[in-house]
Amino acid sequence: MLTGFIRTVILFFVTTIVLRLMGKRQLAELQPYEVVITLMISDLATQPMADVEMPLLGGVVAILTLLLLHSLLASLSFWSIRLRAIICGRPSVLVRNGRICEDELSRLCFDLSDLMEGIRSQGLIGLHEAGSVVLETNGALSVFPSAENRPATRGEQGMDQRYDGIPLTLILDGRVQKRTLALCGRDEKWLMDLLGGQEIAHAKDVLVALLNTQGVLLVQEKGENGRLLNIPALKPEEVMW
Amino acid sequence: MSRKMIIMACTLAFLLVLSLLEQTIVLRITDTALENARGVIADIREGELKEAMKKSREMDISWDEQAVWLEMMVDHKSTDEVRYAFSRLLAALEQEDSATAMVYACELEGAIEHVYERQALTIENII
Repeated sequence: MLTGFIRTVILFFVTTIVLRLMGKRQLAELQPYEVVITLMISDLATQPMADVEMPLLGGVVAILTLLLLHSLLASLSFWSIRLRAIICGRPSVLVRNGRICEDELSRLCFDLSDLMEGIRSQGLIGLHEAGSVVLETNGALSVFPSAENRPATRGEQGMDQRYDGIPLTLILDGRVQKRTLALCGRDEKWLMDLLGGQEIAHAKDVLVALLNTQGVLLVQEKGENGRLLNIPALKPEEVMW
Repeated sequence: MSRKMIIMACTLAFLLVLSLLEQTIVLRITDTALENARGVIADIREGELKEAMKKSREMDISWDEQAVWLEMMVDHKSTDEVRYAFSRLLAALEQEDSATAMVYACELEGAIEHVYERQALTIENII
């Protein structure tokens, strides 16, 4: 029993490290070869866990070999478009200019009801609203509404088009995020001076502090009665991330 | 060279070294055991049962020591088969039954050969 426990712990860490090395794609939508590798890894990891007569090294060697194959195929598909098409396949256009591509659907054995489902899942009522539908190589369906059904952009509406990027988290649960602070070219002293101006003496009193791309520091204090503060921190031209 | 490339190169090197080490260790252990098993067979054939008994006991102890390394690399069933063959051979030699001892000694030789054959880099094993 103890042997099985130790072997399971080892295999769990080996598999986790290998999946981590394979990158975030392995945790999201997968290319065909990535599906194969993920399925194989899960099976290889469970076999030595269940059967203590099987050498652990055999499973580890097989998992590491799959990691190497994954890196090789990922590098090949990165460097060559032709090889990428062979390894991952090509995206298929299922609807073009609002017209269903029948030949493509039958070639892929893609059911019309699957197509309708995919369109609905993207927030469109029906086929008449979809301008283009593309079946991506990872099996995801990309749906683009036709021009008349597309919401107007800020540009089209003549609205403010200032840069609106991702805010930086400077304090999270009372802890100063030094790496993010460095991204906006400021230091902890600058941050504490800003907070001190609002009678906040310690970072640990702050639940979250975000610096948005308008240069405003949005702060929420800890506690049920914690204040919500908008502190002007940077001039818009000083925003550089 | 990127960090990922370095990790991959190290993994490849580790796998190659491990594979070569495994082949070498398995070959060395089974080669020695096979040589000794053939010596036991020759002794039984010549009627030297006491000598065969002495060699078999030494072999049994040595196999138990080396099996620790082998079992990290090969299926435990293969090494267990060798252990069972040793037990049967020693029992037959204790009874001074040379015909049965010869059968079990040959079985032992086959079991040892099988350990290496299962791990050897051959077309049969790959396919």
